[in-house]
Amino acid sequence: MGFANLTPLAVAGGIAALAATLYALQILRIRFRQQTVPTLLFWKEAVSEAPVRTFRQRFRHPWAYLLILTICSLLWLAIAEPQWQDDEGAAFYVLVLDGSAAMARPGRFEHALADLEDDLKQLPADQRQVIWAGAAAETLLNPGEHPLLLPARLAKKTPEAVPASVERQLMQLASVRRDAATTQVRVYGEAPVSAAVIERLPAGVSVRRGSSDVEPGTDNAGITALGVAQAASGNWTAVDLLFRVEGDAAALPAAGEIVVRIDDRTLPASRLETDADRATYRVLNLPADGGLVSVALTGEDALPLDDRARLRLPTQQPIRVQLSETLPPVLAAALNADSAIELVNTDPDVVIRLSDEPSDAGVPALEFVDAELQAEAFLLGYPETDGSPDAMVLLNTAVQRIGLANIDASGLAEATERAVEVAMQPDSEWRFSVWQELLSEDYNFVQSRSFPLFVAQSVRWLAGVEKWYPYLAAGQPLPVSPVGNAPAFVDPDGQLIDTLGVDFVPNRAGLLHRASRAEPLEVALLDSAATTGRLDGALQYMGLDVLDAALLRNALVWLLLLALGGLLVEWWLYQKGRMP
Amino acid sequence: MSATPTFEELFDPDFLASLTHLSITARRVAAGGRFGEKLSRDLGSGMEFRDYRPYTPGDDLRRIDWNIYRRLGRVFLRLYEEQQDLPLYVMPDLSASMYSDDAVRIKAALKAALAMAAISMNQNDTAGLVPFGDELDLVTKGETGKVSIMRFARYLSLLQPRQNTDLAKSLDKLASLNLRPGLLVIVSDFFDPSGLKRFAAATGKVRHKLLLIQITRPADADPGLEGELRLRDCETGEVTDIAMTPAVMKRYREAYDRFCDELASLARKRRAGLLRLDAGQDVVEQLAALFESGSLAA
Repeated sequence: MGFANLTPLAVAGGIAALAATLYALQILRIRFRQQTVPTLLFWKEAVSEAPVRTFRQRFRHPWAYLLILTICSLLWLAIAEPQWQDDEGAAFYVLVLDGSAAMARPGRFEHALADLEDDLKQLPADQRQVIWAGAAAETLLNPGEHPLLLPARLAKKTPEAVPASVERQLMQLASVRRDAATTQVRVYGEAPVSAAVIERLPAGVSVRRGSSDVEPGTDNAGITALGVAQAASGNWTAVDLLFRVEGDAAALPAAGEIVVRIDDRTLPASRLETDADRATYRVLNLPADGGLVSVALTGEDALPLDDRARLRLPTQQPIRVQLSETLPPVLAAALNADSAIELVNTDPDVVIRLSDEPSDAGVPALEFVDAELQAEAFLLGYPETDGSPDAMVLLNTAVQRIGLANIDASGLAEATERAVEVAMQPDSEWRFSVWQELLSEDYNFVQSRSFPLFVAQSVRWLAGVEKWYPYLAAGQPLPVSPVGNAPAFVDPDGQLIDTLGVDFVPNRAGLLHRASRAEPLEVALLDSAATTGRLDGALQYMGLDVLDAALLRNALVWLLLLALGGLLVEWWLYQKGRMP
Repeated sequence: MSATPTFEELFDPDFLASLTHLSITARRVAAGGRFGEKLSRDLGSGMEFRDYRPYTPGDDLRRIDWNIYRRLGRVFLRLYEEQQDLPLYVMPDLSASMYSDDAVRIKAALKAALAMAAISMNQNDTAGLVPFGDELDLVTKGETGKVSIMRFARYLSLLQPRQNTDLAKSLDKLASLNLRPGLLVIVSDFFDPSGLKRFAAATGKVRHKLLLIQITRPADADPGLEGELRLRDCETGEVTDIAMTPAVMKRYREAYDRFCDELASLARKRRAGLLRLDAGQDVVEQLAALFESGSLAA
């Protein structure tokens, strides 16, 4: 047996303290109230016994002491809330409350919460846990915690602009479930759980839908896709915008009910191109100048969260590169093939030269250096300032962005008969020094398919061009962009987000701040399941069937009943004059 | 303990006037007393003619009605109602219990005593005052006439509180005074620590007709006490610690009811009257209710 609110030691100590206190009260001298009466004739007959309590003498009514001690102990135990722990086969219940956008439909969240609270009353406190499945998993009630804590913890909780995350959390729960008990996960809400996920759960873990079904309604339409692509016209500084509207046919918006804005400017409806099904929309040749695109459905429907989506357009200005004429023409060919690069002779963003050639100070440079003069095949330099990140962080980032990790380093090492190393050191400016010998046809570097990409990535890294993402959807990993530097992200407190090597997944719609202090990106909901209300059929509603057992196990009820019985006995004894 | 009520508190003209229509009739009056207004059962030498009866030898020749003898030739005696007075002895209880609780009990007791004396003196009877506590004192053997009412009231107002109650001892002393038989009115709460049995035994020693006036208060039957109490007897000073419970209160009420029943039983056995006066109520009204037929057969 365990106690929900107190440790066994505290329970024992409390009972001992009660016994001592009651003992002291029993033996303490009574402070009598003086009363003068005309005669004691009748009182003497009424009280044939000695006074009830006498200071520091033995109890005259030890059973009265035991009775009151029993009552107090029962109440103390009720406060401690003992709970019987079943055998090892007892089920553990994980109640998952869906906090995704789909729950924002009218009445759904309240319905699911009511079902959860009903089930919560029936489950032993130490055999259940309540989890909020919103943008992130959050424990609402730990095992053993009192259900009264739930309303306070839910006070500020509303469905969030995130796709359903129950499946993801199911897998996490399965990995941490207790070995000794079977686990039943009960999902309260509309979150779909696929059969594939259920099949992947280990033995002993079952999933049920805890809330009964709610009619999805037929009055919602929302934006389920929003993205940009390089302009089909081939213009490097322009992008094409595409978005998709899904929903019930009756709720699909007319053309005039879709508003597209770039920053503060509303695009004319004539710029929108759509298919016959009024589902897919395009806006061509938008300037790739970092503007903020906002698409909004102005009509009212059941789910406002999916009626608005925003996306930050990429910034794509030509990169001005000055190429030294002493370098092999293969470099010029690679640069000319890159539509983002403009070769210039003055005022460059990046220079490409031999290391011993003079250059303007302060301009990032891709340099080719004699292998005898540089131990490392690739040496990265960075201007050291007070706010510079750690060199190792910069090196790892640069290796990833330039794609050095994808180079056949062992092949190069074998060909050059030297160790191929990458290093980073402080420098006066951003610099990328590469062995000049690698440009030789003796090696298979310039002939490889990756060479143009190596040059393009190196120029973009040096120019500080960030990767841009064709779309940003909540709950989905960032899509891969072929070129550019992947931006680092910070949380709202400005702390760098370290994804520990895995793909970064924005967990909710809204702003996504970049470490570069550039305008924040925008993440959109883009959840087709939430918009259409289509649920996966693998999860069926099943009521909780632990009512009788829970009541029997509810020691609190029994303790209070026993204490009440004790009080009734005391009242009866008092009325009979057998209780002081 | 409060002092005895003042003369003004006791001697209220309206109070006395309201008693004039009440009277006391003794069933039996000892012969040889003063000539009073009580009709004796004996026919004798009074002033009011009542009846005739044939002459028998030994009768007083002065009572022969010669006119009848002249008309009828037979000798008849004229009978007159003999009127004798009824000595009244008022015996108020002056123990401490009568003075407890703002002396409500003693005020009612002395008013009742004065009322009884006034009624008696209004009928030209004599009224004596023999207050008692742990012992009996003789203040006056008998005051006669309406003019003595004020004097009697003054006697009452000058009485001083005593400490204890000893009914038996007081009655013993009364018996030793050898007073002319009459009506003895004991005005008391009868809270005698030695109990009613000694009192009952002592009543057998007095030759007087008894009238017991029990001064009560509602709190006697239901004290309404709660909590842990140290009760102190106002007469003996004895203390008892009590934790009030419903059961204790129930036993108390049972004991009090037994006491009242015992007192009533005693009165019946002694063929005495028993008046129960609530000290908190108006004494005259209660006496009027008891004298509802205009007289109290003592």
